[in-house]
Amino acid sequence: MKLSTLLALPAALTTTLLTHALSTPSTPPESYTENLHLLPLPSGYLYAGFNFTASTALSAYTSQHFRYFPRSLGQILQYSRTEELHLRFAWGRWDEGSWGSRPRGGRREGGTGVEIWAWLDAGGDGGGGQDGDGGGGGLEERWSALVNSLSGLFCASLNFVDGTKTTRPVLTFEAEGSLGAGRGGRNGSLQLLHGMLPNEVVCTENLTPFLKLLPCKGKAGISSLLDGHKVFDANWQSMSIDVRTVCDSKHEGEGEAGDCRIEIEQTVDMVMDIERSMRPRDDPIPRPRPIEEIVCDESKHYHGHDTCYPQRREGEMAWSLSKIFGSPVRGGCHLAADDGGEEQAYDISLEVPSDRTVDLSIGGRQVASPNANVRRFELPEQGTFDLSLPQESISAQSPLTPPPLFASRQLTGHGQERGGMHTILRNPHPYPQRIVYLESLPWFLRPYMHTLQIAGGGASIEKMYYTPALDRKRGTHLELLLTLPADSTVELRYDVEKASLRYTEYPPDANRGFDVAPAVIRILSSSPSEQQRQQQQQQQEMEGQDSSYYLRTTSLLLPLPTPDFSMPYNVIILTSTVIALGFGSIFNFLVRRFALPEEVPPAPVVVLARRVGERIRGIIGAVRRGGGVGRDGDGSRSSGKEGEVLMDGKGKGLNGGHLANGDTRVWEGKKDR
Amino acid sequence: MQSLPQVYNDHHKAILYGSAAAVRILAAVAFPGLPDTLSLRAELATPVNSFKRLQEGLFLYQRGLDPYNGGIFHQAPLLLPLFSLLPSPAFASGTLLSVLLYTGLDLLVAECLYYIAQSGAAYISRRYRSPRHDRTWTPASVAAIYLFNPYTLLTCLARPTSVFATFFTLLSVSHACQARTATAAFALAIASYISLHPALLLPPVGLLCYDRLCLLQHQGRDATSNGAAIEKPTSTKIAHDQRLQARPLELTLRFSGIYLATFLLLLTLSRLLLPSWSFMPSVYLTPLTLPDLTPNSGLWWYFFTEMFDAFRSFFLGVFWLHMLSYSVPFCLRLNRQPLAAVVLIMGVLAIFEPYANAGDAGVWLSCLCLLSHLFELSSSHRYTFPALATLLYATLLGPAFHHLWIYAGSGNANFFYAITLVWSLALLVLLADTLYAALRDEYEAEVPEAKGREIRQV
Repeated sequence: MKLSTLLALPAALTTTLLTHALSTPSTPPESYTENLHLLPLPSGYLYAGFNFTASTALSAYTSQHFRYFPRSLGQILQYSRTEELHLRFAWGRWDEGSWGSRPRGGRREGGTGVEIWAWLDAGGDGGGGQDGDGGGGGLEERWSALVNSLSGLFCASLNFVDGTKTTRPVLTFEAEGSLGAGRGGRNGSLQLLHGMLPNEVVCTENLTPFLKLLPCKGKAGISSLLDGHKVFDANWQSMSIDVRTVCDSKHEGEGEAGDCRIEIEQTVDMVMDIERSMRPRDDPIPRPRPIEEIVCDESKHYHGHDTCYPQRREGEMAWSLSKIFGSPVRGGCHLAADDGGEEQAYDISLEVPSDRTVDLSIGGRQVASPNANVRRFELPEQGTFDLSLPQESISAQSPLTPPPLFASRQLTGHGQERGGMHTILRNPHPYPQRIVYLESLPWFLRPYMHTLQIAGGGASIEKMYYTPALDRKRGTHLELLLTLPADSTVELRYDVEKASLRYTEYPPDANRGFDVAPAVIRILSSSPSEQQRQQQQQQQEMEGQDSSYYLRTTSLLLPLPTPDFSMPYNVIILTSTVIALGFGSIFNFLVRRFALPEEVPPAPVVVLARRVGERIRGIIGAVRRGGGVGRDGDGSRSSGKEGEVLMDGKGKGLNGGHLANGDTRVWEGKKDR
Repeated sequence: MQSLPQVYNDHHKAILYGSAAAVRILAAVAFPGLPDTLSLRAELATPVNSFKRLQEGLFLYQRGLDPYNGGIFHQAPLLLPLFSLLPSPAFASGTLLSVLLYTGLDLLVAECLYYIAQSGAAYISRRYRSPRHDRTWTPASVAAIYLFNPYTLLTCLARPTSVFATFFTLLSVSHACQARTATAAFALAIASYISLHPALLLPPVGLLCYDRLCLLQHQGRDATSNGAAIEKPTSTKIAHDQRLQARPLELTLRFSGIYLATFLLLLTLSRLLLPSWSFMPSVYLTPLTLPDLTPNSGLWWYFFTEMFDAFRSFFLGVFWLHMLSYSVPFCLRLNRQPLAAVVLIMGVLAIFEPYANAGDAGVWLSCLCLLSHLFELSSSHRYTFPALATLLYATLLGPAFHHLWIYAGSGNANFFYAITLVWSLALLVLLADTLYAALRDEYEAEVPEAKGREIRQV
């Protein structure tokens, strides 16, 4: 840490000096800020949004001087010539009905599983001089290098984002930074690629590398609250990494690298069930509380000495940071202050009504805030920090921001042959909204676009971008630009067909089905009332970003027809038998001719067999005759079967001499008796 | 009351066609959901001929996109402008119009069959006259078998584009029966353009053309004794062959030349319609490489679902070689009965084609009636009744087992697979029996005393 600081310092200093000499940018190029936003949600939930932003001058970045920017990620991005990267790990569902509008306008969350989109340089070697030897191939190769490297870095199956899962959306995503700044403002050759892995389970192994990218590595500052047990126990969580180039607007046209800085923003958003999170760690099993601790509702008519109806909880729940996250915050991570940069204003903000009591631990400090309902705190440099709120009844509830749009999507129909895709979009506002609806379907789900219907509310498609799927090569990409009328519910539906796959293409749990990536909905602009527009503008200014709101539907489970996995050999054998049967009987007729039975010359084998048979018969006859002699002798000695022997001799005998001889012997034998 | 039989006798063809059309249209009108339901059945609609996929291709085509740049549409490009003339089948009128179009096609196919049966090509050829020529069915009954065949009826309502290929194939055969080489080659080229497999009919149809040409020329020359030439074909054989010595090569060149020229012309026309050549791999490579393994009634889909990846290309090659291996041997062995060769190869295609469907099998079963003079032989010496019973069994159980697998979930893929095996086996037995009957008929013409006796193969 120290060594790298020392090494990076001269570069950082020179860049800072240079930029200061040229202009006075509002933000110094080397900066790091982190903050945590806490917002209790109705019915006992708590939203926690962590934000870590680091930036480095672009010139330092291109000359491989990394300060707060993680080196491991930086090198991957340089190798694959990625200008802007957005990576999301998400799990769970944001309950819009009870939690209201999505945090950060949905811009920092992804669909279930892993989602990635990035702007890559599609050009040849032009402008790639500083990128070293890497990324010499085409766009696909660079994209593959990017996802494979990120897969290693984040322990995620991102390497499965291949051609079949990659789409190129046109309208849905817009670059947040200034593209092409590093290459003289040339962004014509930049291409947006987007991929989703809905079946990826996000877990601790993804969080650990995520924290490693932070300057304080989860050891100090708010990141010390992030513990895999708690983050992945949340009802909804989303981790994001966004890398973008930000340029000072007046110099953007000139495209001087010195004016720009590269910024990485990492966020973790989650919604926790307060009661569930506060279970003691050593005894996490929920048990009924002892009856003495329960406050009973005595107004119920069935209340008695042995029955208790628990009283409905009044007001806000009591909680504290250390109980919810398992440990208090361990000191601050004020790196920018150490460097003499701009000091960050606050570490933690808590959005609760102004009359709610908040207890601070020793060392914590409340700082001024522009809004009475938002309290801001600063972490102490050393020692721990905790925040606790007692149970209280608050009359003034902070109102929830209503979400701009409700969306749900499901597969309809039954059976594994075909079905339908059905999306319901509800605009609850009294003004029309323009949205972009993006769907990327796997190739084994074949949509029939001629059956696409939009029902209800008089909505219309303004534009439609459609790239059909190619079997085993490319997935479907569908993008619709729609206008949703005021207070309307619009249904979007089309027929789909479920493909049969080769048996090696099914996963081991084939009958579970396949995951279909969520649809991404971007609300472009709405024409809200004046007040809301102002609010939006405020928000926009605060966040310094565009006003579009993103929203994702849940991912879908798609059952496909499955073959019998146990019998490839049987199928090969049975089908081959049927074909051989047909082939054999047909060619049997084709190559042989008919003949009457008497015309048929005996086959050589038959002739041979007949001859062999004759000879054998002869031998048998001879042996029998010989045997008859022997047996006669035996019979004569053992006083046995005269009659039989006699018959034998009579029946078989052709040679007169022998017969006579035998007869005489028999006779002699008889005489002996 | 007396006029009714008279009307029947005078206009039996019109009555036949009229009633066939009425049945189809009535079915579509009385059950408006039936055409759409049938057009989704796996047994009737395959990835290369499905009506729904055609609609998807049309949708893309009408919006200026390349319909072949996707995995859904694999049908011939020239069908697109044809179907874009029809109103959208999303409405009842569109569905009815498309059923009308297919009814028309069915009537045309029946007309072709009528002409083929009328020409007598089945039992009289240049060097051969069947001893059973008097046992053949009337042309009207052959057409009736086609028109009222349940497979044909269902196919008409399901509206797969393979009906176009069927029509052009039979058109080519009927022109070949009339010794019109150019039109036969032209129609066969269109059929191959639509679904590729009829290309394997090139040798037998060429042979049929040659045979009919020789026969008609001979009849023309001996106009005075027209009947005599037919009655004694063997006696005049040698003389004919000498007179027509130079003809076979010329005819072959002409036939294949016209075929190739038409095929290339159609491809060029398609290229003019579309933005790129991407239709070539999509239309002609799909039946060859089988990327889409949607269940159908053939033998390929489950075999290649279960095939090990390393052997996939090997077995694709084996299957194709196997299909190719029939065309020439049939022509060589059945050179005296070229129409039998044509019908038998149609059977081979219907059984072994990669995206087999019940419609093609139904057409073949109807075409078998062209060889109706052989039925006596195949039914008395072979296994026609068990084969037909098995066919019925497979027809009834096939949809049931498909339902058990796909919808009810109480059976697995092996159920439907087993039924497709039985179906193919029954068709194969019928094919082998017909081949036996044709060869035996030929043998009995040479050796009349073999009639009704047990004979051996050597």
